[in-house]
Amino acid sequence: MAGMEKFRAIELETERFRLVPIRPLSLVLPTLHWTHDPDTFVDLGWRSSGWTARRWWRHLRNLTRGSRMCHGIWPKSGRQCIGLHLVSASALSRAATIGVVIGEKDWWGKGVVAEIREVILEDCFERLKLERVWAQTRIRNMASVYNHRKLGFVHEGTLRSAVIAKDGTREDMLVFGMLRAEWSARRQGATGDDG
Amino acid sequence: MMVDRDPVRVACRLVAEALDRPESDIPPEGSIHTISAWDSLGHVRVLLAIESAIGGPLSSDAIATVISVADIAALLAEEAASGR
Repeated sequence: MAGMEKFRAIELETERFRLVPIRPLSLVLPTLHWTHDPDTFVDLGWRSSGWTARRWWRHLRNLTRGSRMCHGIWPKSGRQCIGLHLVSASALSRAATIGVVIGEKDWWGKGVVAEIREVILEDCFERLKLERVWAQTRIRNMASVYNHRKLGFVHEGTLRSAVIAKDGTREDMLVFGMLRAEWSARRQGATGDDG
Repeated sequence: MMVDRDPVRVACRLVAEALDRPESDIPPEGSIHTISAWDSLGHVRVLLAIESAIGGPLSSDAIATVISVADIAALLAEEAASGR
């Protein structure tokens, strides 16, 4: 039936990392400590407390259901999964939202997201034949804003007062998007950023 | 003491200090795409430095769009013109 295509994650590789489709059961215990840090999931809107191993396992399992794809981020230099990259795609609209969590704080500020997003986007546009990839981030997550702009995402809009920040105040969310043509132009080496 | 009122020079100096680089490393046409030291953590320091300079938080639009020395210079000039 048209539009009922199911997307499947495949293993990808960058200079420093392997992106491996997650096996929820094997990841639960090695990553459970991520759920204890309230900073880790704040941009994804996941709960910041009340995690149990079982709840975390069910959450990880849900990240792979339907047309959701979830990669574990594994440094080639180590044996520990340091984060997750998420793609939730629609076969009908041929669009996907993306998100990332770097659970191991030692890897914050090490260029992980910028590096893995290149191959993720390549996979989305070239293998999955998507037409649009988009994401949203809190305005005070300035590193995330940088990552999106660095890759050429266009600031499409602002969701005003969309989320509750850690201090209880309301915060805007920025929406960034990239279209297939923009990705192609970037690959061909077009210069300039007018996003 | 002479106060530099050229927003481009002020922007170059702001970025240089935020990235802990000599000012000579920050050209007026520099951006996140051309200055290797301007990584994600550097960008956080740059934006916080701008907020310190203007005495208040940046707007959502500013956070979404400021990625170059020219952007910063334009923002500083706009703030100066508004009398902030």
